[in-house]
Formats: sequence, C-alpha cells, structure tokens
Amino acid sequence: MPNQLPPPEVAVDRLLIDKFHAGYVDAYRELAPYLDVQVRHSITDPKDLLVMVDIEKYSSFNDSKRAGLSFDQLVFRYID
Amino acid sequence: MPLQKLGVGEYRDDVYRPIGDWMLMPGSRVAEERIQKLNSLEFMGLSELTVDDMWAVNSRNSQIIFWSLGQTVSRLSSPDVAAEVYYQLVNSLAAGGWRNALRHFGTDRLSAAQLAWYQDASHIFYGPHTQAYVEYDERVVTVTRNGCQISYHHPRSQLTVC
Repeated sequence: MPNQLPPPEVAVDRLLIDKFHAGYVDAYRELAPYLDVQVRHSITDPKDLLVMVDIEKYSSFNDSKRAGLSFDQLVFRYID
Repeated sequence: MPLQKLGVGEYRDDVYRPIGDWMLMPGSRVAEERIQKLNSLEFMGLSELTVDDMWAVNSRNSQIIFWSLGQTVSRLSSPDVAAEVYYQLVNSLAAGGWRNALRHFGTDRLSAAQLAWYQDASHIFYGPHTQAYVEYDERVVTVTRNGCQISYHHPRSQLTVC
C-alpha cells in the first residue's frame, strides 16, 4: 500500500500555511461576530471553491493559473 | 446608486464597484521570467527599470521575505513556533486593518459593500501578486485570490502555497 502521508517538508509547509490563514480568519471572527467566515486555500480546481464564481473570466487570474499557481477563497456570510 | 454608474474601485451610497481584473494594476503585466531576472540582478541599467518592474519585484520580495521568515523560525526553533509566529503576526495585521475599515466608514458593522471595498483596499498595497477578486451581494462577500503574502512556489517541497 503506498504511503499516503505527505513528505515531512510538505507537512511543515502546510502547517505554516494553515496557521497563516487561521490568523486573519480568527481576527475577523472576533471583530465581526455577525459574519460566518470561511477560507479554503491551495485550490487547484475551480470545482473546489466554497462559493462558485466565474474566476476564469479574469485574465490576470488565468495568467497565474497557467503559471501553475494555486488560489484561495475567503467567504464572508452575514448570519444576522 | 446603480453599480454601472460607478468607476472601478469607487464606493458611493453603500455601493462598491470592485476592481475586478487586476491587469490594470501596476506590475501585473511583468512576466515571471523578468521578475526572476531582476531579482537575480541580471540587468545593468538601473535607470531603465520601470515603475511596473519595481512594483512587481517589490511585491514578490515581500512574499519571499514573509515565506522565508516562517522557514527560518522553523529551522532555528520549531515548525510549531514558526506557525505561531505567522498566526500572531497575521492576526494582529488583520485586526488592525479591520479596525481601520470600521473607522474609515464610521461604523461598528461593515456592510457587504464596505467589506468588499475593504478587501480590495487591503490587498491593493501588497502589489500585483496578491490580487483579490471580490464579488458580493447583500448576504455574501467572496474574495477569491491568486495568491497571498506567503504564496510562493517553494522549490524544496514542490508545493505552490497559499
């Protein structure tokens, strides 16, 4: 059975990235309890977006996508 | 206020027209290959550098420095400490930015249009590699981004991060 765990250096990178994003999400949640705040990072397929938007209509986005960059999405929903 | 009557990036009467496509922004059209050459000092004439060049390289350098901060703390201390450094730093920056937005609009609760404006405004000064594609209605604001301050294709991990 193949090893499903990422290489150690990738696991470290993901830990750092997760905490980077948690930093601002937690700040927003604390300061704006009227919002539900969600983030998803390292998205490579638009199907994985939290909210479907036609991101590919932006030429600058497509340039980055062609360069192999992933992207992320931050979503604010008003809950009251 | 009909959205169509607003200029790009303009806010009026609680309506905001997002920047949308950031190809309009300084440095956005500088190719990755040129950024890498400039960053490697593979050029001679300083006076030939354009404002676009400088915006693009400055933006990329800030990403590299931010990314390297985490890698360095991780190496000198531990990945957990590096992660906590990121958390505390970004948490403080985000809270400060949010409070600035509240003060700017003179409110204790941002509307969707104000939040959309704030997201564009807070990303614009980080340069062309942190584009924020903002869309909103009355209940939901979405910010889809190509990158962020630690976006960097790290050669060791082969991981494009954001």
